[in-house]
Amino acid sequence: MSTTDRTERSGPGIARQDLDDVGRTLEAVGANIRRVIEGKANVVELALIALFAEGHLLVEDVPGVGKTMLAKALARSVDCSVARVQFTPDLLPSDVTGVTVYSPDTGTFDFRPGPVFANIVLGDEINRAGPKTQSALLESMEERTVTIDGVTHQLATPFMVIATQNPIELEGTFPLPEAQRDRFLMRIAIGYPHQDDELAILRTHGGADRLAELRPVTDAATVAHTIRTIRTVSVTEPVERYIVAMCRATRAHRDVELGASPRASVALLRASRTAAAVAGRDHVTPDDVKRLAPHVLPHRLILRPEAELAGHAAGEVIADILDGLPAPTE
Amino acid sequence: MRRDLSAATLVGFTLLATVPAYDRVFSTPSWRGPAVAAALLALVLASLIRRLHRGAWVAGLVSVLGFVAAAPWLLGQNARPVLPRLSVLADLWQLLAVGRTELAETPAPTLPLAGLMLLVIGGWWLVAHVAHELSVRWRRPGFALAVLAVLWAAPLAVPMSDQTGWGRTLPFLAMACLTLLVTGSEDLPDETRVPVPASGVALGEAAIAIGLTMPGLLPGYAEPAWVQLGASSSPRGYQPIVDVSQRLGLPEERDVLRVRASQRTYLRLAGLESFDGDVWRLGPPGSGSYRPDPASLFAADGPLPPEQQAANTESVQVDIEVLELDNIYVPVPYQPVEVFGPIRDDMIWSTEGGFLATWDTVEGEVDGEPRVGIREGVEYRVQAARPAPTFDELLTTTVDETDRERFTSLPRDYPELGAQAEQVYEAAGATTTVERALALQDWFVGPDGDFTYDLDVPALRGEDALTDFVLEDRVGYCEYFATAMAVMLRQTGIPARVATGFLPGRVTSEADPSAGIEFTEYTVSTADAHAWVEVLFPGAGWVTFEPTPRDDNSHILPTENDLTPIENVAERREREAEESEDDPAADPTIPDAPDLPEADFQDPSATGDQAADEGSGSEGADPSAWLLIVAVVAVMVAALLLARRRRDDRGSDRTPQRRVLDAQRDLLTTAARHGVGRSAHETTVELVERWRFERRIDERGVVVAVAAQAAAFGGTVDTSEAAEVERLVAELEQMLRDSVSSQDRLLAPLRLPLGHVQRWGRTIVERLVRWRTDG
Repeated sequence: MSTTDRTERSGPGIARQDLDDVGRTLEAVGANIRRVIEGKANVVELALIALFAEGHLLVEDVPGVGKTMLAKALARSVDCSVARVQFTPDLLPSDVTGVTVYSPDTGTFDFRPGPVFANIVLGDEINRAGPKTQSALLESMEERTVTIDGVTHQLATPFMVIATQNPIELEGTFPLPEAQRDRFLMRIAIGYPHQDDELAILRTHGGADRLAELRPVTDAATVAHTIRTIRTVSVTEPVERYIVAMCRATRAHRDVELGASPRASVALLRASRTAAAVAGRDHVTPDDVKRLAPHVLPHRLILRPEAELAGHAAGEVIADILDGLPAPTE
Repeated sequence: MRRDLSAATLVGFTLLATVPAYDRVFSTPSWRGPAVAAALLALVLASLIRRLHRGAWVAGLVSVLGFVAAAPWLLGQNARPVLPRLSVLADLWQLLAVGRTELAETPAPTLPLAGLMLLVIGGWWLVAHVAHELSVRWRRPGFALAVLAVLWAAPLAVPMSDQTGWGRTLPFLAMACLTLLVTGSEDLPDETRVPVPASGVALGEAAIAIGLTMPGLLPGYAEPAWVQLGASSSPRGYQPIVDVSQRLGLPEERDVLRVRASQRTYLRLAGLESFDGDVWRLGPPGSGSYRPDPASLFAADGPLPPEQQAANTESVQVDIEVLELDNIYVPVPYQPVEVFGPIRDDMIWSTEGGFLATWDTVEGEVDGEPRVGIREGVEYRVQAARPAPTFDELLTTTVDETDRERFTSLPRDYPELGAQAEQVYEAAGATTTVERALALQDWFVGPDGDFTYDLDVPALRGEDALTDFVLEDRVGYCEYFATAMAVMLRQTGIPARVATGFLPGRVTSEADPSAGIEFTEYTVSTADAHAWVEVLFPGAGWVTFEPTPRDDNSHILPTENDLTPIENVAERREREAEESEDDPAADPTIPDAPDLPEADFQDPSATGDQAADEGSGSEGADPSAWLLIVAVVAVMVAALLLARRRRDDRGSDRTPQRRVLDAQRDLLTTAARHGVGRSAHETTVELVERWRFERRIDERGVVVAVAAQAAAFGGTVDTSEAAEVERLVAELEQMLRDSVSSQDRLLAPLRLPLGHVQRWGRTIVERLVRWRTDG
């Protein structure tokens, strides 16, 4: 296959002007978030990628490293509706999706939209709610609609769920079902800050509430437009094949019980496109794919019990696959 | 490319700068052609392989094959370069052994003998190739200079007493300086790694240090060596003199030569000029180890100049096969005109003493004594012109004073022998030189002298041994007789010397012209070892006289009527007896000017047509070999053309994308060839990052990687970017090459397959372990 064919296949591509606009938007949001999250440029960028790939983000880490701070900062940077749900064991599905209530004034049943109707939904400690409530949220995440009392309600655009989860507290929690974790575009960990950064955190957060000072730098319409633009970042067949090969490799891996689904391939491609745009490129390279795979794929895998007993983690499986899979050069 | 070319050119000129050093050890400049041709061929071959982007291993292999193919041609043994065959290899191997002997035994300056020349062209070829690889492929001109310095120092290390070598070293030093100046910056030590003072100062100090000590190491400077390398073994040279008595005294007679000759002839080894009272030696008196004047030495690969001009000669042709010969002198009829056969390349003809010597020898021993002997089985043909003067002609010759003085010198006066000689002359009424020589000869062999031939006598040693022999005992063998006659001639002012060699030998197969056998075959044994007297007649040559009354009458006795007879004494007596009975007019017919016999070797002077006519019997005319050569050449040309095509295809109308991708491919290929290639899982960006981490390249690599990925994965690349990438890739390739040590570079071809093997091994072990745990 010659280059000409591939170039044709990749479509009209993205105009330089559009790419520059996208770059400005992304940079503005990124810079805004970095004002409150010290020294975690990589995490911030991943969060950005999730937002502009129109995907949902699962932040999983120990308490106190800034999960909620990241989610809030992201939400505040965009001038759009934001809802926050603190998940508890007694939270009901209707507390998330909304409820129809009788209005004595009008004598009708009115629909009161739940937090899920916001552009950005922060689900704190999502694993504390019961499976029923979790499913209510997770189903809305994929379909982007909510059906209540036979009426289907369209969710806002853009729509993004940022869920946080505490991996160490297991008592009284309901871990997300494996099949449903698939609906998050990425799972990221924040990790402890570097010594200097931690010092900076002491100084900034000891005083005024920096988060409250955060002002939006873009609006929902711009984000929606940017998302549409990013979808035109060109991808060549070798890169597509690389993505597919990677997902298929997870299914064949000896430590894996259940591999990545085709949805995972799509997610990986979408994330890679956004990563390319973040880097100011109009084309996806294998490096984008390789960089995002460790964040997009592991939470979708179910390892074999013996592999888990042997102490293997899904992240290691992906690293293993990346080390064995031939990368395209042209 | 231009850099490659200039580096290769520098190597070439530095090689040429060693020529004066080699001129010192060769007496003629004829060595230059083959050596320079060898070096240039090696350089061209190495450059070609490099141009085709083939690895060092391939270059080495091609160079070795090229040398084997070209060596016979360079040595002039073959008119055309031939496909290396086993026989050629065997010949070269043989010649190599000869060369080593020659190196050890031949005093300098020497003629460019074939064995020495093989060493020289081999050395030049090797050094040219290695220097090219070091200088061009690995960009280490300093190391290349070191190799070249070895080549340059080799001839200067040959001890010679005569002239100074300073002048001869200057061209090389100048070229070395130029090379360092042009390419030096790369070779200077990296200041970040080695704590050295400013590199120029360090280099200068090192140069001064070497300059002060090296001349001491190289005798070629004609300065005393400060350090003596190894034992000072001087060459044996040409003096291992033939001991006739030892041969004659062997308990068992051994065949030494098989000769097919057009006529019966003495086979002479050398004419011994100086007498020290006990033995005769080559060369002028007083010189213990004899080194012939280089001006009197000639290579035997063409017509030989005569030792003495002879007006009347008789053509003699012999084919000789050496069965066992324990010296370096080649038996020939005197005096040889030309030698044929491959061995002639390794022969020296000396017009001082009139001998042919070869170093195509084997070490051996004769009765416990170590000896150097001509290799057994050597065959050669000699065309000789035997001086055949008439008696009257010799009456008129005169000897000039220099020659008379030289060939009449004696270690002491022999008054009794002189008186005896005068007595003999008087009795025979001999007044002229030739009459006196014949009279003395006849006195020894005839009844007047009453001499007896006997081998069982003590060696001719001691103050009065010679006088006692002539005047009292009168019992001895050829050495006694020849010495006695030569001394007596000299004592009476007649220039004479003793020649050693062999009698014609016994007939083992008669000539039979009807059966196509033109020549009679003789077999010469140790019992035929002989010494005789030669008397100088300027204008007529050295004429043989025979004072030894051999009891088997196998000697040939000159007479006044026939100074150069062809029958031996036994035959003559037989004939005379027959003639007295039968027809006195009957004369034995001998084949004169015979046609060339069938020979095992081909006459090198034969034209190509003759060679072709001889067909399958001759070497080098094997048609299948030529077909093979043509086929190989065709395949190589086709491969070359294809390689060019592939490059050319990239040529004119490539898109910028294509150009960038091709550049990337070149970079990856170069990297793989140097053992730092891409692992399959690495993207170009990761690869470049790794190289940067390994400090092989700098940030320019990132530019290339980004552009390459844009070109490959749907980004936009314009023409100027493509040009930039191509330029950067060329620089990166060079940085990669420089970053790989020579050792790693050599091992690179092995690393990849080894890596595969390692991975397979690991996979197999893992599978086994899992199979066991699963089971």
